[in-house]
Amino acid sequence: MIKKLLRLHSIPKPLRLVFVGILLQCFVAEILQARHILAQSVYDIQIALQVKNKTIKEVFDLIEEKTEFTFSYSSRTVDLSRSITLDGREQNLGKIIEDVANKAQLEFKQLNTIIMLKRKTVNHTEAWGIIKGRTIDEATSEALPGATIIVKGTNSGTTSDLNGEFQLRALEGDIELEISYMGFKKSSQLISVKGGIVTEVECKLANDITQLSAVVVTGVLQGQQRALNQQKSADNIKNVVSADQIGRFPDPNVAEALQRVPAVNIERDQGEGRYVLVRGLAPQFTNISINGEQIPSPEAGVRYVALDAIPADQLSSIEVTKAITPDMDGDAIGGNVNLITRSAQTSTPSIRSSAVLGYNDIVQRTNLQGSLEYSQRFLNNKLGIMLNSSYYESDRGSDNWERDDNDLELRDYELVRTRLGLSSTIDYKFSDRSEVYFRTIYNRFTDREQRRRYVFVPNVDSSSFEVNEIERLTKDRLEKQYVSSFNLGAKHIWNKLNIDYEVSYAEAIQDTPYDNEAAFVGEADGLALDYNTNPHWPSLIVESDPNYLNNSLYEFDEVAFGNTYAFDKNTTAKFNIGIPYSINSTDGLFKFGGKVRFKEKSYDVTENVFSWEGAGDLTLDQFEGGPADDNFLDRYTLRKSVDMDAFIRHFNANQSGYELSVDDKLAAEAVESYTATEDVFAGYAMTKLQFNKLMLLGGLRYEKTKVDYTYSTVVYGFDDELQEIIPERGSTEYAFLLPQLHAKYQVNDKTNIRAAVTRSYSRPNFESIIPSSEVEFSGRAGTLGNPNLKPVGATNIDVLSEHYFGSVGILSGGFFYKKLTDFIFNRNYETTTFPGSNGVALEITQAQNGEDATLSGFEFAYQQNLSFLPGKLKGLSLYTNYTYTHSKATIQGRGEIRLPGQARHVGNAAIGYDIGKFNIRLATNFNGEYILEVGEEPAKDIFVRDRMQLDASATFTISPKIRVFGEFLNITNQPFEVFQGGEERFIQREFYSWWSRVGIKFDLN
Amino acid sequence: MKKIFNIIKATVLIFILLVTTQCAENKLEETPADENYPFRLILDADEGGDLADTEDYDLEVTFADFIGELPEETVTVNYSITNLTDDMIDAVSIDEIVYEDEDGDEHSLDFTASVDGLTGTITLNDPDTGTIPESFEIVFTLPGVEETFFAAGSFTFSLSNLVAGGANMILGTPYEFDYEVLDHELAGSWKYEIETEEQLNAFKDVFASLSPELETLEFVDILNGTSLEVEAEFEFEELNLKLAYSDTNNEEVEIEIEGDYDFEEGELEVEGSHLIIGDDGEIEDELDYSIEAAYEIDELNSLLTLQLFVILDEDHFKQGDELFFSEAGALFTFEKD
Repeated sequence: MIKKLLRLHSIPKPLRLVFVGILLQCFVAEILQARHILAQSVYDIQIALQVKNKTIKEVFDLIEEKTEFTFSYSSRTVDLSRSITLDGREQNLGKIIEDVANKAQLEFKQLNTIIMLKRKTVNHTEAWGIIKGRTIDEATSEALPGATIIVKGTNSGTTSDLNGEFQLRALEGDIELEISYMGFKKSSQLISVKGGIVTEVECKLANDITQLSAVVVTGVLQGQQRALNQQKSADNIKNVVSADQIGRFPDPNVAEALQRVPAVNIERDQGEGRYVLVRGLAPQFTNISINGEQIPSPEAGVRYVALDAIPADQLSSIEVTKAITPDMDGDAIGGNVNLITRSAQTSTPSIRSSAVLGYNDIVQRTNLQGSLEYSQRFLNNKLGIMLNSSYYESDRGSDNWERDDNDLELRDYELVRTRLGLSSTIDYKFSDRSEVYFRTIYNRFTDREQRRRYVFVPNVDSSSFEVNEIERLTKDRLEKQYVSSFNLGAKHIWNKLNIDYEVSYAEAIQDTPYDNEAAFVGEADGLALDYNTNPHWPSLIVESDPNYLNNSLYEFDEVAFGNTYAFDKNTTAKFNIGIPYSINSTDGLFKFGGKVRFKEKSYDVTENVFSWEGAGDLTLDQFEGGPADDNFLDRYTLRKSVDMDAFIRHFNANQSGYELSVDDKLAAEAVESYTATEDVFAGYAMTKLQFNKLMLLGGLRYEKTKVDYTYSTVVYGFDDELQEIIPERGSTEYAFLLPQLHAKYQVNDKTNIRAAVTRSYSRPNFESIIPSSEVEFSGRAGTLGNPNLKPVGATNIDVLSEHYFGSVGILSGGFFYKKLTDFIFNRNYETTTFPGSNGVALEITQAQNGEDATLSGFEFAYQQNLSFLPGKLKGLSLYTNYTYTHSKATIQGRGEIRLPGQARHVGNAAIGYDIGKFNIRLATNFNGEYILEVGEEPAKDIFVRDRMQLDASATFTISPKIRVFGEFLNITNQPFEVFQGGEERFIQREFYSWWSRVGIKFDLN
Repeated sequence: MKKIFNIIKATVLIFILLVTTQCAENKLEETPADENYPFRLILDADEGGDLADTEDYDLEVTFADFIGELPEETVTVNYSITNLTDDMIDAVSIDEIVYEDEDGDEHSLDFTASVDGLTGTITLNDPDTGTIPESFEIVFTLPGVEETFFAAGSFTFSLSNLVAGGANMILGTPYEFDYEVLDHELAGSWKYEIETEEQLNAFKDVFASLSPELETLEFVDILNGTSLEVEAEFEFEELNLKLAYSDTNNEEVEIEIEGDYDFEEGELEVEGSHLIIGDDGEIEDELDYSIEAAYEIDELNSLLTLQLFVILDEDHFKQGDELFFSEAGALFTFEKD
């Protein structure tokens, strides 16, 4: 009979102490008795014991049956489930127990007839060996990231990384590795560990057909498996989207793929996802990184990156971390989005490619997309090379009406967008213990926008100083964004520590080589607009004579030629050192590291505005070109607008007649241009402890930031003339100490409960520190930068429970709470001391710290392949998530409001069906309404209306290596809608119609 | 070897993919030549005129707003005087070309003229320093007054063929100026004398809203025993209403109200802008205004009677909210100066 004396984990802590005390008393009493009643030594007993593939427990049961000895141990720390075989040659009981105990990494001690068993204590003088391995799919040889690997009978374990690789330490001797991976059969492997030696293993796992039932495991499902396994084995709260999984939904870029993640919503531009908002916080609260290193923003005023600039097929996965750990950058209140590039996996050449054609309904043009990737490992797997390229070209457009006070704008957009992505990873493994890598990624996004506008400006007051005006504007603009990153790093594993270090350089550029807009103005008698009869569609009433569609009635007003160049670069160096340790039966990892990052950011603006002073009038009909639309938005009539090429030809040939607005140029260029440097110094220390089912991870991070800026303030005198351009300089320093604590309790193999209390912060956007600083004495008002602006600090509490299904799926739910301090808001104050203002009181608007805000909510996610359903229904799969978020912030003059950018309701629902090799999916994404801009009063608040997009996709797997697919997006032509105060006052409705893609993907291994 | 071949093959394939997919046309067919925009030499006005008895006329030639320093190269520009009519024939020529430096000192520019004085070449560089002034004035000699008749007629002055010696400079628009003798019935200067507090208040009732200085002027501010003289100067398309007085310190003070005027058959309209002064004493805004009036001229006695009905501005244009309104019209009688 085996007595499991200590089941401490199920007893409350105070009772445990009492219980342990009682046990100690019992032991002392028994030892005292044993002095009088001494039993035989186990080494004096001979026993014949022959067992095959029996668990240690069964072996001990046999011994108990055949002898007077009983075994005593704590089931919390001692695992006897491992199978062993004894050939029966050894008959000395002591030596048999010794042998079995060694195999199970146990120590034993005889107390009379009781054999006390305990887990072998770690003696640092004992020889440790390193196990280095890789988990792969037995069928496809593809890496399995997120696999859980444990040394059976111990608390020692790890998880495989993105390449499926893992390493862990074990004491010299025979051990059994147990590898588990959702959707695959659990596997175990016996290994002989030798002290100071690296033992390499390859763990091949087989698909669990019984779990997956009739579902054909395609690339899509593999992606889902990988993502969920990584999520499950992660130490902290995160969501993982694997690149293959992106293929489940018709999401062409990274931002749109992320909208499917719980508690993530996106901001769109021209119908395409661009910025990511995590947990209802504006984009600047989320840190964007590539391969774990923050990337700079190509945009001038902000830190966050437009994720439509990065093609999804450059990535192997995307991680959304919602609770950060001390080894991560601390400026991530909303979370961290990490884009991970691919690397070579096997010595077999791998070629992946895709070719896609698409069609956009609104511009009635085709689109194209292609990608090619090659990867292979050479020199006995020591050298890995991965080369990846992709190109995407999309013709898009939108039809839009906007309202500004009483003015109505009709906007007709045509765009050509391209995305070029190039990436490479070269890694070399010098030995089992050392490797270096060099990762590069280069992305170029171009956006050529041609915009034609009608602006109807009615003279609503019937002022004799104004007329009913119609402005006609045509814009031609090219914007090029470059985001590139180079990471050179190395990893070393020694017996008593791990070290990795990296230097990286990343730069981001937004180059707008031309931004040209010509404006013509005409008068229109009898112009009236009706916004009330139908708030969705304003009525336009214009007298037919003179006909406002007659282009000869529009006279040239001005032309603006501009270009801008925004540059941002990060140079970073960092290191991490990990020291594994054990305390009694608890394994731990102590980790510390440091990082420096130097940022340089600048913005240059050129703006030349010209008026016509030459002989004769210039009218629009002299330059007209392009399309005319008799049925714009199914109700308005538009005429041909300005052909910019024709206009520029006239400009170049008639410079004598065009006059440059010099003051406007000086002011515009000075007010927006700036340079900034930002130096960040960071260090951290953390430890991770694994107590059987409970993992604790805690530590501290310290980040210090030093910032310097140069910019200009433009002052207009009381006569409204440009008076002065004041060069300004500012600097600030701030530091944060960020404690982080994470707990993960594994209820069982498939269920985790997680909790985290973390501190984080968010640096202010550059546009808050250095906004367009302008002071107008005549208007008694101005906007000034605030170089002393401090970051927003946050305390975050996250609790999440997750249950994973063997058939690849998850049910999770949790809540989060964030308290934000030093929240940045625009403060208005009066000053009489501004230089040159002669003591006149000026109303200054300036971003300042001060107010607090809170944000809380809950999230729920359910996804499962319904393979348990009968018959043909087992091909169904569901993907749903929903997040509710509530926030409140105090704003000067407004009291409590909801945080801008925060949507109360965000969710996804998708239903899929697999029939053999055919997979179809209908997906909808819901983004609740949110405040875009806070007004002076509630009626002036500007909201983005809730939006629900419906997409469909279908995939046919011709063979595991060839798939064809089709996608149909925005089926219901959902507009982007903005309203002010309430839905009775829409101020923008933008329509994109639907677009589609059809393509083929090859995975040639 | 095979593996190296694989890498080369993949690189070539990727390159081909990139080259063949660079389809988007992002280059402009026409690129605007807006950078390094040239210095533009222009005339300050394209038309003007003065009273018939004027003996000379100044026309300003200037560079349009520019960034940077004017070049040091020698710059010349040709001129011509054409379309001479009536008394302008054989009577118009350039007398001198002058400019004033930052210290207020006057300098001359060189020019060469044809025998009849109607064509010639101006050198923009100061003959002493070689520098080019930002603006200069061409002083024309006009027929002026003779004992028995007043001159009449018009002419056109134009610049051409600017030679900048490699400097980035062009001749801009306007480069032509039309001069005509100002001989309509309102042209010239008219005076109105304010001698009593009632007269001042009546004048202020109408015009004070267009001039903050006039609004604060009180009769006691005028030196005892002197009067306030209002001079209405009808120049080429522009009306100057000048109020001049001696203050209690016996210092000359002048208040001006300006606007562009248009007239026809006894009706006069004036449009201009006026400043709004805040409570803190500084300019707060500048608003457009308009005046509707009638006029009558007594040629025999050289009197001009102005009858002011309405004054509006951008903030006060609705009925009942006018800056000034009188159905009967406020009457002021001016004498020809």
